Amino acid sequence: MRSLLWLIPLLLLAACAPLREENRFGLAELNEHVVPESTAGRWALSPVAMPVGLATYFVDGLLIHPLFVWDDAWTDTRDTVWDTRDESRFRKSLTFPLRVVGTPVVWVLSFVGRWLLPLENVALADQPWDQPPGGAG
Amino acid sequence: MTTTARRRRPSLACAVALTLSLLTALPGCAFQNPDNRRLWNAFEENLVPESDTAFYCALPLTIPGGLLAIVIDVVVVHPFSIVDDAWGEATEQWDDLDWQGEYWYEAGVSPLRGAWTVVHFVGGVIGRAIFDVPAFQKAEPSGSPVAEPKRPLKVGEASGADDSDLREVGAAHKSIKTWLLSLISGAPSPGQPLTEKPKVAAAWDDELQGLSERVQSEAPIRARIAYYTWSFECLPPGYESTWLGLTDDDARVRATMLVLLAKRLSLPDHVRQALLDDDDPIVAELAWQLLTDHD
Repeated sequence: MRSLLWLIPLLLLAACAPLREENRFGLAELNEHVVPESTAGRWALSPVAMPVGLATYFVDGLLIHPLFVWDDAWTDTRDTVWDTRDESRFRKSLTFPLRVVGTPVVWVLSFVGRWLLPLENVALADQPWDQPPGGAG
Repeated sequence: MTTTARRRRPSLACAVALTLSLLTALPGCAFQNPDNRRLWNAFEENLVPESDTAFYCALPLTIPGGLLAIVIDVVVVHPFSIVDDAWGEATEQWDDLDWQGEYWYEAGVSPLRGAWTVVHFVGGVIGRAIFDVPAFQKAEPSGSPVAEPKRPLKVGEASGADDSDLREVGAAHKSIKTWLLSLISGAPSPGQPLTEKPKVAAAWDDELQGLSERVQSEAPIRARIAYYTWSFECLPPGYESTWLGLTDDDARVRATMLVLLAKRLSLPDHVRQALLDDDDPIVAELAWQLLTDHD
């Protein structure tokens, strides 16, 4: 039992991201398809809804949400580390190894932050993979 | 054993005294607000003699009595008086739950919400017992577009009144309260209660704010006009509800206040526009005459 104690802080951390409605993927599906119309029905279902809803909440936060933020973390990394448009050729060459080393660090930090915190997701329109950050210019 | 107990007693007493001193010295602590010193206020108002001779003669009794009142205020009276505020704040998260649209979410997080309510309540009691936190007010749905934003008020906030002014502030408070109550009852006492802005500001608190709101909603027309005129003259900036007179439900009040105040007051755009678009043709015409640069 004690070996499972590490789960508590992890669950508490993962409880933050689904506070944003857009991060409740499984709960959104349940709310869409399985909600009794009547108040009595909702009360009757509550013994099931409480544990299932809570489990789905944590599944949303711990398992599903990270699938949606890995690319946002990459956008953060690209904008933070690889936006070199305003820099000279010499400076780009000088900092290249640092950028290579910094890339996984920034990506992991961004990924963990976006996974656990209720941050705003990066809109798809802001992820132009085929052009440099900030537009084609 | 006895020696140890003897040694411990003074150190415990010192620790309590030091803690109380530190708490009462903190600038933001609850005790800095005279509103939070109920017992001490009552003690000072009722048991401290006014004449010089009696005052100095009674000092050997009033000083320990006052200190005891402070301790009871800090440890018992104030913490108990803020329990309902902490409870209201902690349970506010249970209002407006969407059991239809977000059923599974609301049901699932209800155990977490319950646990958080307990933590929030305990933290709220401790925080409010130590620090001067404004009284909890339930969030109200936004009203009319010209509603004046409310802000928490506390005695002495605007004037910086110190403890020596307490008696004077108490008298001002009583005077204003009596007058406001007479307005609500529809039998206004003659004259105005107090016209010195610093004293009014020092005396103004949540109780008077509540009464002033009752005047605006319950009092007869002439009483409301008297209140609005007084508040324009006497309430300091930030407290006055001057343009509420211009957005009163009754057109007669709006028209009267418009005539009285239009030239003496810079109106926010939304109030000015509301008057120009008033449903009552007389008010709208008066607004056009008094608020626009027509030739």
